[in-house]
Order: sequence, then structure tokens, then C-alpha cells
Amino acid sequence: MRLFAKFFLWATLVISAALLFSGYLLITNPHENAVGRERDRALNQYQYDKFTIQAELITNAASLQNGIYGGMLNRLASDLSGSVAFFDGDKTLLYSDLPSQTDFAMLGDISDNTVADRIQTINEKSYVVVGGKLTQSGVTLYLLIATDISPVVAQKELMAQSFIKVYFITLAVSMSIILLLSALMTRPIKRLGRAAAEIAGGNYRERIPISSGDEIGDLSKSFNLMADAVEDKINALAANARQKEDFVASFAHELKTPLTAVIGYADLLYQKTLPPEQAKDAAGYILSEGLRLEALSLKLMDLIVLNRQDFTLEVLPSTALFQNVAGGLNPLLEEKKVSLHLKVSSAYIKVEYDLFKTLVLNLIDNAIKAGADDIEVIGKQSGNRYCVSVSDNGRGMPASELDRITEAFYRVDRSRSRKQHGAGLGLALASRLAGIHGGALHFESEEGTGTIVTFDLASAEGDENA
Amino acid sequence: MRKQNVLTILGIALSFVIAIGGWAVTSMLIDLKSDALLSAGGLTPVYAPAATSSGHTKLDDNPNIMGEDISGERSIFSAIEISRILSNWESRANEQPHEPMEGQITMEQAIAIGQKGLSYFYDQGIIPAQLLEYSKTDAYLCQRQPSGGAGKMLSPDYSYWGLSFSGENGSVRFSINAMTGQIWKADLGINSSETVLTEAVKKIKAEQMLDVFTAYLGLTGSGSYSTDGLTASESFADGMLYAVARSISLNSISEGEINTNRYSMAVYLSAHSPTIG
Repeated sequence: MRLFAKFFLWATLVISAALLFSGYLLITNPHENAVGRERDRALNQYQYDKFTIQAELITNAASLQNGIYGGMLNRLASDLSGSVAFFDGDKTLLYSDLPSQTDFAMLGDISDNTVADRIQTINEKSYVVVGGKLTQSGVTLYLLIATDISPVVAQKELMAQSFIKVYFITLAVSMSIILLLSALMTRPIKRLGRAAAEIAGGNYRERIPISSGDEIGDLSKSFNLMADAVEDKINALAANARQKEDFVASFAHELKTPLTAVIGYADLLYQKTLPPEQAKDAAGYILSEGLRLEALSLKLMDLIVLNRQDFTLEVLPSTALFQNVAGGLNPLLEEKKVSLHLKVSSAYIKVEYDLFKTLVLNLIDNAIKAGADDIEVIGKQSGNRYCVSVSDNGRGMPASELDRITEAFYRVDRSRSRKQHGAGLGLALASRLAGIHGGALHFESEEGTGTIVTFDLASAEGDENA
Repeated sequence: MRKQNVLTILGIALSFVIAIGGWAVTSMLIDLKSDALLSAGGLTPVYAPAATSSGHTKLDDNPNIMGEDISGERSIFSAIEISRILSNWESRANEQPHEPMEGQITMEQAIAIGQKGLSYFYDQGIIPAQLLEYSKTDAYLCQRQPSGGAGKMLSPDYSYWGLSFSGENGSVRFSINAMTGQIWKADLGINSSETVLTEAVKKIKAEQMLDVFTAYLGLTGSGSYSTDGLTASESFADGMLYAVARSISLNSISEGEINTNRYSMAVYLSAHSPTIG
């Protein structure tokens, strides 16, 4: 059953019960009191009438002794206020102007010490009939006096008719108000239900406007808090899933360059019989890149999945570091016929070895993908910072693209990037790696001329050649 | 959803059934109650119990000259008791008729006292002879019951017989204390076109009425006395009681050539000082 129907039903029940109970009391109590008052009035009237008859019997005692009271009774009846009936001591009717259907059975209840009264309804009129015994001047009479109380009954009927109008009008007005109120009260609940359905349908941004400070308002606040929590959780789950995807993509991306070196050196060892020194170098590169891949996988997970920023930087000599990077690229550079020029001033720089190497490899790899055949890496001290720039003579990029090229999965030339197995993750990862080293990537590019990427990082005191 | 809608419609329908059925049941209950009320009956004792008299009884040596027909023991009251009774009589409380209680005079005795009072006051010249020619006698015994005391009888001391002797020329009304049998109040209403009667009434002065009334009651130890010609009063018992006589011409009505004069005269005991002048 709808909530408004429940409101309506219960309100009808309660209001009807209250109105009807009040109406019952309002009608019956005054009616009962009025009937009681009429009975008392009739008893008093009986007493007055009895006194009147007694006085007449006293003052006309002489006539009575002669048994002449027929005419006197007629005269008395006309003097009395209501209808009256006289009976002799044997309860034989002497005179009556009471309605013919009056029940005289009540005469049996009358005694010397009691007056009897009965309410009788005769011809749709109600009377209080009071009867008693009168003994005076040797005469015994039974006397019945009837007092019409029909106005009291009519008053009750009038009240009942008035009340039925009041009852149904009040009920109709109350029901209308209750319908309105229940509609107003259930509106926020319906809104709550719609919002819940929206959220269930995936619109986690749905919220309820709070327009009152009552329980519904509190419920709306709680609902909004719950929706906030659900949205946060869903966003966190989505971010987590995205990070995992990023990791998988980045890891796959980062596998390519070292694997190229590993495959190149392995191919060299496989194809040719190298002198032991060169074979050892080739095996060393393979081992080194393998170990780096292992370390890189863990660090990428920390960086991407766990969003870690606090990698421990170690102080390393810049020259050896860049030469190591270049050595790992030899097979790729030879394959792509790209010449790499290192112009690195010696210094001690604070880096996380694997991540820094990944940063520089990504920038060089990006230059190769841009079609460069001449790449220059310059490293130089600048105050307490060490500036690195990677410049190429590749296709370059439009200036309008520069702001977005560090966004994940953003590719300037999608079709070419796909052919080169680019995922749009290299520069995004490089940007984060530069951030870990306390710097940021800056791009200068001109279409058809090439691109220069610079960043700086902290350097330690002293020169590595000193 | 369909079940939900069916239940909603049923709920609303039930509301209307409750509203209309509730009224039908209530209406039936009201009718039942009314029928029970309108078929009720009862028995009321003729002699309602009452508080005992505060007056004390005394053999019939009352100075009241009207006492010979009510011989035996009769109550007499102190001034303060009389004052209290008169205050009750002068209140606006409803009259409650009742049968004579123990110690109270009967109707026959009351009528006898009234008739003798008429003769006495006539003899003393304060009632015109024409008022003795009454044709109808009425009498009733009652108390004035204060509000909230309905149904509960007061002490018999507070009861009085209201007597009226009515005739062609007017009426005389007496209020007789039902315990002492004394007339404590007499109202004379004269309604006559007879010049003789009118002239006779005009000769009756308030001072004369007062003297006759105080002598009738045997009141002694007078306090202050005042009169303005129409009203005369005398206080007794240190101002607790006042005997008052008032003679006021109300109006004259002319019907054709007949000029009817209406007079109202009264002598009475009161617990309060009358306004004079």
C-alpha cells in the first residue's frame, strides 16, 4: 500500500474516532442532562399540582363529604399546567385529558411514600408522566401528570443532524489536508527513491537538495553522505583499475627498449663469435638490462599502482650514468641508424638509478619515434642544479600540442604512433619520473625542425673528476 | 506494482467505509442511548431526608396571637437563625416544592393560619374588607435551594408555605415559616376600579402597617426606625432583622370609562436594611 494511502487510512480512523466519540458525548450528555432536568421539572410540577389539588380539597371539604367532585376535577384540570388524570382510591379513572394511549400501568408502582415517573412516547411525542397518591380531607386520589418533553427530543435530533454535517465537512476538509500533507511529506521520500535509482544506474553524482531540518532533511543528508562515500569508493576503485591498466601499459612500454638491447646483444652473441672481452660486455649488458627490468617492474608498480613519490635518490656520477644509458641503446641506435651524441659535463647528481635511466631512455626513444636520426644529450651544471636536455632533428610538434603531450595515452600523430607501437605513455611516465627527481619536463618544438626536452635535477657538491 | 495499487485503492476505500460506517454505528449508539433514556422510569420518595432543625422547641407560649390552631410544640429561632433563613428566602435560588417534613405545619394548618392572618390584619385596618372575599386558595410548601445543592434538602427551618387568597379585587400572599407557623411576609395586590376600595387602600399608611406587623410577630427591643411615607422600617436584634412595610401605587389602567387602579403593599421581615427615601 502506498504511504499516502496509509496516512489517509490511519488519519481517517483517528479523526473519525475522535469526532464520533466527541459527537456521541456532545449529543448524549446534554440530551441525558436535559431529560434529567425535564424529569425533575415534571416531579416539581407534580408536587405543585398536588398542592393545588390539596388546597382545593381543603377549601371545598364540605362538598367532598357529599361526594361531589366530578365538576371540581374538571375545574382543577383546567387550572393545572399540564395534562392530568385522576383516579379514585380503587384506581378507577375519574377524569383524564392525557393522550388516549397513555399506559396507566405505572399506577401499580405508586405507594403512600413514593412517587412514580415514566417517560412514555405517545404519537411521536414524549412525555414524562408522574404519578402519586393524594389523601386529603378524607379523600384518596391517584394523580397522573404528563409533561411534554418533545422539544428536548427534537433538540437532540437537531443536534444529531447538525453534527452529521459538521462531521462530514470536518472529515472532508481533514482528508483534503491530509492528502496534501501526505503528498508533501512523501515527496522527499520519492525524490530519495529516484536518487537511489539514479545511483544504482551509475550516476554517482546524483544528490538530493536538502530543504528542511526535520527527519527527512536528516535522511537526505545521510543519503548524500552515503552517496559521497559511494562515489569516492567507486572513483577510488576506478582509479585503482586505471592505475593497474597504466602499470600494465607502462610496463609493456618499458619492456620494449631494454628488450631491444637484450635481444640485440643476444643476437650478437648468437650470430657472431665475439672475442671474449666483447662477449663478456654483451653478456654484461644483457644481465644488467635483465636486472634493471626486474627492479623497474617493482618501481613502476610503486610509482603507478601505489602512487609512491618518496623514492630514495642516490648520488651518482653523471658521465658514467649517461654512458651506461647510451651503451644500453647501442643495438637500437644501430638498428634505427641514429647517431647519439653525449655532451655531459661531469658532476654528481641525485638520482634513482633505474627511474632516471628510464626517464632518459624514454626521451631518447621518443626522439627516435619522432623520426630523428641525430640526437644530442647535453648535461651541464647550473648552480646547485644539473640541467639535462635531449634535442633531436625529428618531425617536431605543433606548439598547440605541447601542453598535452605529457597526458597519458595522448599521441600527436595517432596513425604513425600506432605503427611504431606507441601507446602515448612514454612522455607521461617521463614527466612523472622528472617530478620524482625534483624537476619538470619543458618542451620546445618546431614542426619539421625537431624538439628539445629539458629538465633539471639536484646535484651534489663537487666534480666527479676532482 | 499492481498489488501495490490494489492495496492503495482498498486502503482509500476502507477509509471511506470507516468514515461512513463509523457515523452509522455512532448514530445507532446515540439512538440506543436515547431510547433507553426515553423509556426510563423511577420512584422518588415522597419525604426526602433533610438536615435537622437548628431551632429549639418550645411549648405554645408564643406571643403570636395566631397560634391557637397549631398547638403543641413549635420551634422558635434566635435572631441570627431568623436572619439566616431570611437571607435564603431573599436569594434568587430556585424554589423546590416538597411534602411537609417532621415538625413542619401541614397545609391545613398553613391555610388556617393564613385565614386567621387575613382576619387579624383586617381587624387591624391594614387589609381592606374586599380582600377577604377571596374565591381561590392556593398553597405550596417549598425551600429555596442554592445552586449546586439540587436534590439535597436543606434544614426544615428554611421551608415556607406560600399561600395565596385570590379574589375579584386582588390577592393576598403570605409566606409562612413552616416550623414556627408565623407569617413572615405578606403581599397585598389590589386590582380594582371600585372607588371605595381605592379610597380605603389610600388611607393605609406604611407606618400603620409596620406597627401592626411588629405587634403580630411580638418583636420587641426596637433599634432604628425610618420612614418616607411609602416605606417604613424598624430594625431589631442590633440590626440583624428588619421589619418593613411598603405601600406603593403601581399604576392605573383605563379601559373605556373604567379606571382600574393597581396597588401593591407588603409587610415583611428582612435580613437587609431596605432603601428608604
